[in-house]
Amino acid sequence: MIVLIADKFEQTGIDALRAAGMRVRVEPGLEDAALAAGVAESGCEVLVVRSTKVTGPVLAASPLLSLVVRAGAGYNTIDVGAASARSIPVANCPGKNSIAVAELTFALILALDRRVVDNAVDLRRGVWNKKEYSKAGGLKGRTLGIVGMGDIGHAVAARARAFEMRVVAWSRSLTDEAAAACDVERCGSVAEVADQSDILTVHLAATAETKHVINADVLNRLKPGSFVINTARAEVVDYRALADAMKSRQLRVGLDVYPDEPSAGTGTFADAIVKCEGVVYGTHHIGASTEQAQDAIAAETVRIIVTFAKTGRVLNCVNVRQPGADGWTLRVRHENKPGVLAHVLRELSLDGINVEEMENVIMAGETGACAHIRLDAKPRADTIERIRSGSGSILAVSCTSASA
Amino acid sequence: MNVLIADTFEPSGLADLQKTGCAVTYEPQLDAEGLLDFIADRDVDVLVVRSKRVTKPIIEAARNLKLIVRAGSGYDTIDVAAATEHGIAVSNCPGQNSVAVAELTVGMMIALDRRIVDNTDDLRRGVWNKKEYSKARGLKGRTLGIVGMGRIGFEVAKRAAAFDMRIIYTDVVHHAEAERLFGARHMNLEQVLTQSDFVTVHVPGGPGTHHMIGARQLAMMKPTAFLINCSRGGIVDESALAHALQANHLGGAALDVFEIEPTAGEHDFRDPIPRAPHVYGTHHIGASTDQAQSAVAAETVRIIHTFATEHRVLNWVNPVTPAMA
Ligand SMILES: NC(=O)c1ccc[n+]([C@@H]2O[C@H](COP(=O)([O-])OP(=O)(O)OC[C@H]3O[C@@H](n4cnc5c(N)ncnc54)[C@H](O)[C@@H]3O)[C@@H](O)[C@H]2O)c1
Repeated sequence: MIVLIADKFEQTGIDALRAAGMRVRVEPGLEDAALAAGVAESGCEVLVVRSTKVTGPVLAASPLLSLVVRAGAGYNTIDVGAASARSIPVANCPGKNSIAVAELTFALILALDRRVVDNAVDLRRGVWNKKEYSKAGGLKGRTLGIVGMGDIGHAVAARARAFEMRVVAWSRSLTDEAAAACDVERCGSVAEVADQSDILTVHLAATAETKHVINADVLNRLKPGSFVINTARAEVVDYRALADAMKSRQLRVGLDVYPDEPSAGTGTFADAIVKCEGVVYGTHHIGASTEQAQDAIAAETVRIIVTFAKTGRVLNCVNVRQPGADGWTLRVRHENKPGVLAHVLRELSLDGINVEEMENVIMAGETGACAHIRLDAKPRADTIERIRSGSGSILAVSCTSASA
Repeated sequence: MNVLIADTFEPSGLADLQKTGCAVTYEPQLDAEGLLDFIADRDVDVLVVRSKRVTKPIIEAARNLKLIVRAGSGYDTIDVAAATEHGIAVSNCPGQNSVAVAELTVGMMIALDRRIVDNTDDLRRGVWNKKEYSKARGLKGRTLGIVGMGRIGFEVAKRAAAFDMRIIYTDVVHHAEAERLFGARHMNLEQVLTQSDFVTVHVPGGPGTHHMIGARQLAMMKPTAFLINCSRGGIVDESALAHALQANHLGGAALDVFEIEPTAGEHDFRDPIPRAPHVYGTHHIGASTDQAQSAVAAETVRIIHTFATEHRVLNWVNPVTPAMA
């Protein structure tokens, strides 16, 4: 199997893939048209990316391409719609960089509280101003508000406890029990979190529902002088409202992501928010970028590719349809012989029924087999009867509703 | 009991003192002369100060004074000998800023690892360099070496443990609680220096620890390791540190304290060390948080309340037999 890695990747991961028999090509510089050409020319079946964009043309570049792995969690740099339309599964490595992001979140919180950047910059310029920098709140006893209690939210909460902070949180599916288990107080809404927080940090995935979750209303609920941290995705925060609230409420802001972020490793940065008056500290979208996280992600990427090569199964697939409750499952027990499944599928297609998923398991001894076939509609009774009687190798047929 | 507070003090502390039934006079603006006159003319049982000097003349002029409370830890601004001579007790509020210093220490550890200062500096100048800043190592699984497991060292260990760091330490005594709670392992200084990814110093200053971290000790550290000093300036040999950094024998350093610091608030600061490569400096702000100030205020209230109700002096620095109320 040929694997094209179109980003920087851990040597440990490359070595592991080669050891598993893959032909690995590492081309970290490829982008856009060059990436499409690289995919076509390499004949790769697996494409691995980190921040490199995977566009429709890249996905259409070669019929051999059968899996895209995002070596990281977020996959909004990949045109998943186009991948789904071409039946190319996309897999990611969720949760592997949670610790790294939680660490950066705390770096920004602590740096904002003590104004670490301005301290260091002043001392570099030969200015001593202890008077100004002696005004800090401290973390102990203050309230940290977490919006989004996934892996990262949990890792942030655990660290906040060690700082003896009070933690309040909102998350779509956070229950009172789950909140109690990690020692946080559950809020009913994002607004409620904002009402209580001295420091607000957001750890939501970027989706249609989470766009601008942190908006003017939420920001205007914060006490003057509060901190806002975004190490998630630019889309979840309304940056224009944030710039306004910085002025009107003297918010201190720590950011790792920006609406207009260069996709390349180096370049010019035009976002005005870091030049706003007040205390804004920014990093270069490096939340996930620690050796510890990269090692964990590389190991997961290898696991996905090796599993795919061996079994065809795609772990952590993000674009497989979640089967609804309204389908039907046909169970066929049969003799393990050629032509049996072809007979079953022919009768189904004559009935105009679409097969959605199927699995065929061979029993020990290899004479018997069992097929589970997921259908989009219920077959007619005479179709079932023809399946049962039309082949001497069919042992039993049953059909049940998936919701039953 | 009459209490004079002659420096700025937390409003919450003032209110709590009044609740204990003390007659509190709050005169933060008093200068040296004003303080002397005030204390000579009125009945003051307890004097509370922060940085204000309590000199021999003031102590001699005092009519009724029994206790001086330093709302903070260091008390070299108080003429303790004169107080002792006049049977006046002096007490302080040690350890109330441990959490503040520990927060800064951990903040600097992650700031160094993620290069927060350079990151922000570049973005402010319109430079995007994700490539360069993506090279951090992370805290989880790394080894933190604590030199001096006292009050501050313990608070640092507590926070580092939540970051899943391995904790080793050196101290003249063993810290059973840090070992039990955070798995901290006691070693000698050389072992701590050679094994750590981060070394943080929390021993007291003074001749016993002067240049405790010098050229020889820095050379033992890993070339990727970071050194943090939020204790006292003289403990780390700054010129040896500058050499080690220039020669890339060290990953970087964070310093809150310097061998020579300006005394007043605002000044020119010509020390070259904050300009050395990979050094993040702060303005001796380790103890300076509202939380630490509130903790000091609460401790001051506790001292005065105990003195008023039980005639006992807590945190007594000059055991004398004061004329009790
Ligand atoms: N940056 C700031 O603004 C700031 C604020 C408060 C305190 N400090 C400084 O922080 C340091 C630690 O304060 P603390 O409250 O934790 O003190 P502490 O007395 O509680 O702890 C000091 C520890 O160092 C150990 N120790 C002493 N000499 C040693 C030696 N030679 N070798 C190994 N261990 C030794 C002691 O046994 C003790 O456990 C002090 O230097 C203090 O002045 C700095």
